[in-house]
Amino acid sequence: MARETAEEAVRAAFRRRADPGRALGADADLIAAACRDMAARFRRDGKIITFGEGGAATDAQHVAVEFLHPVVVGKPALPALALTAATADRLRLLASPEDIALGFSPDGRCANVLEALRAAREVGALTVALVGGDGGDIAGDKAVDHALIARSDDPCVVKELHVTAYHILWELVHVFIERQGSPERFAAECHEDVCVTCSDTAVPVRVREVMDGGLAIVETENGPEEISLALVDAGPGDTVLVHAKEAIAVLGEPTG
Amino acid sequence: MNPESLYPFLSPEQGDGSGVLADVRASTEEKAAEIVALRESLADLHGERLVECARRMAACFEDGGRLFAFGNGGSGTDARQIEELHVGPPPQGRPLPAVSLPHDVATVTALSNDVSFDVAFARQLAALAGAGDIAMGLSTSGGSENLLRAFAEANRRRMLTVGFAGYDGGRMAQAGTVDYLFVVPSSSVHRIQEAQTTLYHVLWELTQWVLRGRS
Repeated sequence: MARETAEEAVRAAFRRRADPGRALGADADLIAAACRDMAARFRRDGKIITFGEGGAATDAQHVAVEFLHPVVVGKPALPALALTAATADRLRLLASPEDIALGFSPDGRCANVLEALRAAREVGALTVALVGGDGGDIAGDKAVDHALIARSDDPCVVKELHVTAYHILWELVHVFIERQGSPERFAAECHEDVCVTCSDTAVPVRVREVMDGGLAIVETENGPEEISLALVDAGPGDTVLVHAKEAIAVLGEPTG
Repeated sequence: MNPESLYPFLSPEQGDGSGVLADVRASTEEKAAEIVALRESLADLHGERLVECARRMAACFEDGGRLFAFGNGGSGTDARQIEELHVGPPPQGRPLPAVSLPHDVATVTALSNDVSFDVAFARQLAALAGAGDIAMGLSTSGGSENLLRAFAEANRRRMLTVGFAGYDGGRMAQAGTVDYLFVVPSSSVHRIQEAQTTLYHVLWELTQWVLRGRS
């Protein structure tokens, strides 16, 4: 008897997720439009700033690491930052006009997330919201450029749909970037097998010239490129390992 | 990875924005259908063991046990979600003691800097947990060294061990240290993570269900 009921409980739990899951597919147009606009921001050297409260803060962290450190080898790292707290103050301090602000609220009614999205919009950033339930105040707010609503009142189901939604956002942003011509900062640095920015593997290069602001010009097989030396103590002549435009280790002895 | 192999419909001739939009829309529909089907398959695959595991977890909680969750990267954020869900459940739920190990930033960075990242979660369990507690680790590959060490430590301490992995379960499936291992049979890291989210949510629901029956 108890066993029977337990099985029913399991079946019911999985069944409850099927319709909202299918509804996500029905929002394909909205998702595609959001990806297109997000790709345009990355092309302008923008970054994505993510935030949420409580359980939603974990999604903000998850989507940021997806962009910054892709699990799919060969996809370029894109700049992403998860806020430790969803506040309008932080957005005003950290956001630039070319950025993307991505806020999470499972019921669409998180006041801090809405304020943060409004602050981002004032700065000029593209605003995207992942919400649930009926979309709440956030989905209908004029400061939100793209609102994707997970069609469930269960916060657990909403979270599951959000995970799929931001995986798709991440993947399809890259499709737009690849398909519509890479932004110069990717294209210029990717030649044949040597890809200083895009490769998941660190590439050894020689420092030619150190510049202001922790930057340096390095020599690659395909000519000079600019990288950051902020993390290492290196000078002209040193060979450094570069990952995602950042020198991460010094290999050679200085010669000059 | 070559994008053409993932998106065979992409070709340089179709350069206009509307073409990309149409392709991206199709891809979205396909991925949404994929995770719905994968999720549905999990009820048959893991349903019975989820119930059994929930009963064991409920018994641990009834006896004063606590849950320690851990994982790396995206799975580290799942550890935090597991903490949040147990400690601050939706209105009808019963709050239960749970901690996300990766979110103790001072301890994790200190251990990683001074010893090795491999020992991060194992040392935390050694310091905090004991028999009657629950160790819950998430990995997509099943091969993260620090998770394997954490499960070995948890097993030594006679904790109840619960794991989530992908592909074929990797080393987590072979280690013999995980009492209840839930493997998501997919080759996509993303679909694995999404399905794991459902699995630990359902496991939490069932644990609550068992606890309601007992109290």
